[in-house]
Amino acid sequence: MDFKDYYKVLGLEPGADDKAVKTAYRKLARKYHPDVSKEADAENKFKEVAEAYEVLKSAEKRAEYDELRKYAEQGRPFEPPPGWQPSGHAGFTGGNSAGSEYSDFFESLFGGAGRFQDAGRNRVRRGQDVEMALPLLLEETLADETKTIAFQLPQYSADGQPLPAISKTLNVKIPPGVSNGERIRLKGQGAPGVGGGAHGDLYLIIHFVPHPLFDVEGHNLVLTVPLAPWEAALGSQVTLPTLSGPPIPKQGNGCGSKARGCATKPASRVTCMHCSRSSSRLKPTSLCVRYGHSWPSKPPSIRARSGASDE
Amino acid sequence: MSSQILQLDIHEFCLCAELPQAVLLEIVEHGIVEPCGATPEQWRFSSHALSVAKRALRLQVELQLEWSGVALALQLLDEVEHLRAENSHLRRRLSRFEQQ
Repeated sequence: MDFKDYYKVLGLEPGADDKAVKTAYRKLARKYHPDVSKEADAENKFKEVAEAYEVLKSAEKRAEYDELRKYAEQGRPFEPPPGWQPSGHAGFTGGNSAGSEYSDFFESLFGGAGRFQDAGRNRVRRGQDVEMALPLLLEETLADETKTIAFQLPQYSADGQPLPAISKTLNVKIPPGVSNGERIRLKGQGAPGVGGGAHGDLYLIIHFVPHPLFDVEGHNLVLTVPLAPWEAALGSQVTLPTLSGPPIPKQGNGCGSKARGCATKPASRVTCMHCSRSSSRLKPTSLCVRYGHSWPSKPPSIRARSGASDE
Repeated sequence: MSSQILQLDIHEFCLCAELPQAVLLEIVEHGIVEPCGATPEQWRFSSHALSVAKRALRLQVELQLEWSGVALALQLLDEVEHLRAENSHLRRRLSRFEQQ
């Protein structure tokens, strides 16, 4: 076990006063809080910072820690001095917080008991809710889809000690028409309760896997069809892929009436990115086709004369 | 949407979010979660509200924020998330033209 230099974690000198400790914690907590930060490994960094603050904010714990710090030699594995008794000061202040798991080092110093403020009273506690992301292909949202999910549930004994996590596998039916970011609640599938408390819930958060062809806007599918300028000007036949079923041929034209002609089909919408005109016939769950002008990587052999627009 | 089916009353909500009713009243007062129904006894919360409330509680405790600060932070975080999604959406659309 390595000795943890809590002062270093908070970027402080050992003699720093309480105000400096608080300021340093607040600054780092804002930087690494998993609800706020996009930094890699933010959660672990936040836990480290929260643990350091847990010790240094309390005069009692800080005094104990400073005492031990004298024994610690840099670069050598840390062992508590002989006869050291964990003080049991490990107060749990964060409720259901991300910073609730302390390191082995912390527990060897202050003990794991007292993890929950009400531990020892054998209070009934409901199990934790668990959230997990469920990646879903767009094709899988069309019909009832059964997915097999595997996950781990945290488990605590009645006195708040962490027990090995339980591995669980479930077959989950995903209803058709789910939307991106939607939360599906599976009641009672979360972590087991403590002292006979109810199980928590499992929440699946739907994440659409980006599709190579289609984008999703609200409940609509959007297909972008790049057209060369001459195709847009002269009109051309394009074959449109669909998410379900065979491709459909369409007569398309980037700008003007022909493009809008396509849009009169009840279940389609055509928007020209060039002139931003679009059909108003938008139905929910429709396939929207968006034509846009694009220049091919190889220019055509006959190029438009420069200055032609002046004529 | 199936998430709209789940509705929690104030007691279930407090139990699931592990927060006292007094705190919930404050969270609602700051507009952090918006239940349906006029009086607290009639309030119904969605599962989305549950995740918002839990997140708000974490921010309040761990960043030592006032509730008004939490409300602002959540609003800005939502906006950032929205902009990130829009940004990646537009990038993807742009890449569809560049691939051609």
